Amino acid sequence: MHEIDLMPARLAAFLQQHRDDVELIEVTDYEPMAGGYSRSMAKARVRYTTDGVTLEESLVLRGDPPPGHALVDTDRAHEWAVLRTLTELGVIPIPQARYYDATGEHLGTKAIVMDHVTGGSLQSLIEEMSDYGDHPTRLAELWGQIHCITPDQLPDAMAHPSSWEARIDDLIQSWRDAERSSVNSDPTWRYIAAWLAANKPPPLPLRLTHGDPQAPNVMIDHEGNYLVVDWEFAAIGDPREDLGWYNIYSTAAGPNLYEADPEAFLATYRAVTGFGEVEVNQLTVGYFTILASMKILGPINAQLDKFALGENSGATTALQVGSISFGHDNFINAINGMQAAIDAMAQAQGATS
Amino acid sequence: MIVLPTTPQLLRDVRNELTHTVAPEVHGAVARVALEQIDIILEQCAVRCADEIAWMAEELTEMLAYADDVVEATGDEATAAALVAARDNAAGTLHLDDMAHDYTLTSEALSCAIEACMADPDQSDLLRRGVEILRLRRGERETVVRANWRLVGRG
Repeated sequence: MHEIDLMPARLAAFLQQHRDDVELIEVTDYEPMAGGYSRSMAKARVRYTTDGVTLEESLVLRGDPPPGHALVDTDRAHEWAVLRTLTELGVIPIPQARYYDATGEHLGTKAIVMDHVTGGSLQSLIEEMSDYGDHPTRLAELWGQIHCITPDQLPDAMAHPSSWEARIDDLIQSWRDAERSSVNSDPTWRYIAAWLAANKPPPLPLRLTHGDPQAPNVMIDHEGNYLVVDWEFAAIGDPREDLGWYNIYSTAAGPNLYEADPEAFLATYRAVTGFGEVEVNQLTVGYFTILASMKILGPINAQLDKFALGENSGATTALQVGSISFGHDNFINAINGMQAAIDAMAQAQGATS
Repeated sequence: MIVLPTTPQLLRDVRNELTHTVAPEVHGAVARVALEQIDIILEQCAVRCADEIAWMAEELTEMLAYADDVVEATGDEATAAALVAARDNAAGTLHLDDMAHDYTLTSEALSCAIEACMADPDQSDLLRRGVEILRLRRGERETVVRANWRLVGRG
């Protein structure tokens, strides 16, 4: 994927292996795409000719960046397994995943070939809006639909936590582990881990989580339908992990459709999932806004460590120093706010008992 | 050593050249995103290099004093050990690499001290003081260094 001049021929040959019903496959245009933050992305125009009849379509390639330039390291085979399962289940709208080069021998890097969505992302749409209309409701419904998928529907290739407690303890431990392995000593992360361990929320059933739910990962097709992309962080976890990550990401790079009216957003979400208000409320979303962030901040920080050690480079990675410090700022302030709310509730309970 | 123009002045001049001379000639989407990211990083470097030695020096003093107070109040062994490590292994110069080394060691003492206070309900005042170091000293300076940061190139 990184040798642009070679890619039209390589891609055509790769597609031909999967389409022996087509006489001739030509790639007439190939260009890298901006917007694929963690993976290399490219768009290709493909022409199929059989019996003198020609059809054309656009495809998207999603592959690993060149060595030493990764923002995060994730597994394409894992992502492909998730996409195949979601395609078979057919309950979550996604662009169809067509083919996978599992070794990189055909496309130069491990890469997934999928349908191109003609519309833009939800991010690019709502950035231009002053009134978000029904998008907050639709987004709450979309996250809710994902969280209706149960672990028994998901492939063995995904890690299946033994219990909710085990999942949450693993996530808390990931804060400590990330800090311990980093070139930086980070007292803020250590404080966060201690606070999270002392303030666990009520449990929910484990479900499929997208792992990186955000408006740039929701595409909108020409009919206005939402399609969810970028499943590299998908996992079995507490559904509120996604709500929390959506909240913190959208605070950093808005607009934030949850924050616009949290109670309405959560009411819609609860209606889709059947979860209760004791488990899904602003306080528990606040908890997971912090807890779940390490799933992505951890890999990002690991790449910044490599940067510091001279093993990685690139402006996209260097820019993530800001992501880490943005997290510090927001998490410390969020803990202050949540602790005050927890203390107030404890006081109120003490007064009534 | 020629100290003027300062490093921030030089970096901001490079930003200006990139924005007004180079960027108009760049038309590829990926390259334009990279240029915008580079502009943000250059401004962050300009802000950071102006003050980071002074800030680390101030914070080293503050962290050591806080950890000393926590050891005195709690007798926490991890904090005491981290303090010994920070003092015994300090490079003790103003060179950037040495300051970063000393800052990292001393931050471990701050981490241990805050954890000790979290585990002891009688140390709520000391805990509050430790969290204020995170929030008002480190956090506010990190916010300044973020400068014009934004996640460019997504979506």
